[in-house]
Amino acid sequence: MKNSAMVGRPVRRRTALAVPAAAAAMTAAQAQEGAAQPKPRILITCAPHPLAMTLARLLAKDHQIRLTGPEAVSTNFEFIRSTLDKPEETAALMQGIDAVVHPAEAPAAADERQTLDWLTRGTYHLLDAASRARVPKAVFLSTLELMTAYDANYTVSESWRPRPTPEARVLGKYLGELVCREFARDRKIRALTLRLGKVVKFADTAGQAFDPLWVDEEDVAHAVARAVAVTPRDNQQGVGSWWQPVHVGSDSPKARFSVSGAKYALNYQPKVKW
Amino acid sequence: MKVLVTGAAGYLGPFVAKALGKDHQLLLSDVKKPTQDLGHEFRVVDMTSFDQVLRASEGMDAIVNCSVVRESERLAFGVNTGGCWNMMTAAVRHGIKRILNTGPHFTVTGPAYEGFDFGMDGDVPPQPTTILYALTKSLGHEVTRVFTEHHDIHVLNFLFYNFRDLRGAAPGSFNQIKPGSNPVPFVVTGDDAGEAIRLGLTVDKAKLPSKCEVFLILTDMPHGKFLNDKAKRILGFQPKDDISALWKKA
Repeated sequence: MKNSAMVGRPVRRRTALAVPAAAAAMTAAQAQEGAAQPKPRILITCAPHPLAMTLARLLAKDHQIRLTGPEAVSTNFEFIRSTLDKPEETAALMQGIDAVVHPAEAPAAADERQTLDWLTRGTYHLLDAASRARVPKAVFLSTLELMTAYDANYTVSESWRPRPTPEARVLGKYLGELVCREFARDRKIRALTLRLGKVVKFADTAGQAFDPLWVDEEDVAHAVARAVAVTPRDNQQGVGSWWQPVHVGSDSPKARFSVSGAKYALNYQPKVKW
Repeated sequence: MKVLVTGAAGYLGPFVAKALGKDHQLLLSDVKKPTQDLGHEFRVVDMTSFDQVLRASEGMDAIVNCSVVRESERLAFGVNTGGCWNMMTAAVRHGIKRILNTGPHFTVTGPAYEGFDFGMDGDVPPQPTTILYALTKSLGHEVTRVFTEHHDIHVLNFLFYNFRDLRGAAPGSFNQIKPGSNPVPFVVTGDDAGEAIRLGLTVDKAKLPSKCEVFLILTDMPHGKFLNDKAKRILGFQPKDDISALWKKA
């Protein structure tokens, strides 16, 4: 049921010195993280999916971007075509890479069966190549839809068991998480799983009924940047573990899921509140 | 009961056909024809093809999935994981209420358990590791579990490790009983495995703790590492073949 108080023009609350979220250095300690360091080189998969392209655009200021996808893409970023199923091809993707960011979005034309295959086999193949190349970190972008089966009044956090539907897109995200978990356990690659809400552009939500799963694309990019940057020493109980799911949404009072876990593990500080 | 048996041309399939054949109407299937006549209708079915799985499962009361691919990324994911999704989706379409899914022990009790622990009965969180065969089967297992949470279907997952054959193993073959050979602590004969499947097909669902259960199917072994207690307690499984020569000094 829609709550009339939720409807209307959203309020964007930013600090006085607003900067793009992805580029924002939130604390002095974090600012030092990148001081005198070369920009991390990240591989972003699943181009030309909009999420992949948005992340490339928003992360480019502080990262060297390499894009990959199954079909040729027109872009100014370095792009290497890969279908994520040929070992030599995938190994080449990993050269010089500090972190893999895997939006885990199937090509637009994929049917359910192909979607499931892309999210499972594609993730397996990618992480296998990353671990062989000793890439230390992978960021897997999952979905908060894994948690929506719970009562909306429950304080669902990352410590609750995922409850996916059998729909290939949702189930595939869950299975992709399990692939990451096993690579973290077995191959000791740091696999961070960010469960995203519905990724939107803040400006586009004006006049729309509030959706408690909304998360602004810049806040998503900020979360990914933090996931790439954060090291075990930052938080031994957070990303100090090899595998950890983190919920990434807005910090709005009526948001469906708390982001306190992401704040703790990543120092995630979303800017947009509806 | 009309039962579709997939992967029927593999090692386990003929034993399943033998155990079920007397009381049930079987449709055996595989990507290739079995080398021997198993005495039942056979149809070529590729588990990676949803259409083929859907057609083969039409009119069935249950599916016994013995299909497996151990190597090749594309086929392992296609058969072990995607095949389960095809099977479960087909079961929903046709109103099939019971699935017997099979796999290796490390679908659940992977090396992190096997190397460290004892007393395992299958009711532990899956830790397959990244072994292609184990992981893809484990994902398939999760697929079946998720479907049971959304549909009125019961899935019994039967896990095996090593098979031995008292009757008919080729001389020198792996499956032959070699006295004193000290096998892995998880062995069963093909006939006892087939019997476990037969019991699972008809067990009263009221006896099942949930709609998705895991059973380790092994003979009575003194090692205490893997346990068949749950299969005995719920299914009434009682291995008949004496293969104790395997772990007795020759």
